Amino acid sequence: MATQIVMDHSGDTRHSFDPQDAAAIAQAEKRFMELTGAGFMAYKRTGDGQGEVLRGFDASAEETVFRPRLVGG
Amino acid sequence: MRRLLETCERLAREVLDRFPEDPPRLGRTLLVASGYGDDTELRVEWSNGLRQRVSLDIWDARRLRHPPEMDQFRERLLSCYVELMQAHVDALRRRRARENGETPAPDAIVRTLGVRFDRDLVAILGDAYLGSVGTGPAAEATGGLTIDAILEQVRAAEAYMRPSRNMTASELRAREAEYFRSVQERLARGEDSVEFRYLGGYRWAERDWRRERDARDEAERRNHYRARAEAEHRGLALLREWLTPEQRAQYDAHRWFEVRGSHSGKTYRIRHGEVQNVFALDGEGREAQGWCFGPAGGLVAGDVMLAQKLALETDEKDALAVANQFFTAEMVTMFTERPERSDRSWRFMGIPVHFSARVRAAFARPAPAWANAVGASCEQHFGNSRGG
Repeated sequence: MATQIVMDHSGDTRHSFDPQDAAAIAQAEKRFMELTGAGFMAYKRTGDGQGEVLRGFDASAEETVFRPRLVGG
Repeated sequence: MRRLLETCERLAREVLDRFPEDPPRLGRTLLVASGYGDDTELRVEWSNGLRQRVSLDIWDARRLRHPPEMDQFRERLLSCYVELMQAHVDALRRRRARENGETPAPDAIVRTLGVRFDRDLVAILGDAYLGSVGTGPAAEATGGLTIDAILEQVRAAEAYMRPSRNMTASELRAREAEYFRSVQERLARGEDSVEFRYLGGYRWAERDWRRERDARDEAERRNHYRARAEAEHRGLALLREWLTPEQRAQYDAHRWFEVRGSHSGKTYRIRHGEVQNVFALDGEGREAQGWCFGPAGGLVAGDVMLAQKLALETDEKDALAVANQFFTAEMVTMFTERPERSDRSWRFMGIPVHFSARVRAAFARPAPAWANAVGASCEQHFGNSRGG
């Protein structure tokens, strides 16, 4: 199962989907597009503690985290 | 003023002509915040007379002591009176509509009147307060009524509301329940003001209502803090999942961890916190420059630190482009204390800094007392501002 993790006020919200299920993948891609369109940045987990920016939807990513856009403090 | 009085006359005639079967005694009591830490009651009554119908609670009358403001106050009071009478007419119309099986229009006047009169009352009375019952101004304010007449009205109203004997416990409970129900109904209708003054000795309903409200507020606070604590826990769990083993060990030991910038290769220290918690380290591992940035939306500390880590490790330039800089305690100390190095050469963010002869001479002198004081206060401030 692949997971999309979205940072929010509750800590995070996780959406799991089966990468073998075409319908689930379509839904995950739609979620990816909506979040990145809203300013979220997506990162794919590549190793232990390492992340990589995702510019487009990657169905093979096992774990993707979405963070809101950055602002100065 | 004349127009207002004419309007009063017209409305009074309309009420009497259109609704002759309704009781002549009409009135309304507004409870308005006076700005004195207590609620002020304004009672506007309407009976068979006309110009003497506007009366003030005695508590208001004691505050009126500025003759130049009397006309203004009386005019505004009459204006409120007109609106209240209009509200009565509307209420009677609604009652008639209900009796005829029609859907009455909502009552829109009284809800705003309390707020408007609150503002007017505070603006006119200001902080004026007359410790004892006045004579002239208060009488003027009530359209020719004397203080004695006002007191008589208050006594009559209190006698009307209070029983002539003490109630039994069961009567008291029944009265409390009845009043409590009426308060709940008024609150459910969304009315802005609820009158408690003439409850007299039966304030139990008010007390119970306040107790219930406080308990509800406390429950909401507890739920908020519980949800926040759970969010904090989830945020930290997610952060730990995404830290390298070294970063995790650093965080467990110090409540901070270090990351390497993707473009400059600089080392940044991210302390536990949500604001002012990112520091660029110099060649000696000191926190030389502070950077303040984070994800939008007021997220919990774990999410903020993870977003900072990912941003610096993958897109350092973009992160620093939105970040604001702030002085670290080390920087403040550097410029307010005499340097200890013999050669007086400094490095700032890895760059050698050469001071002029004049600056070197300044450093050779003992630092003035104010400089050390500034350094200490800044260090205290920035030390406290760090998270954790």
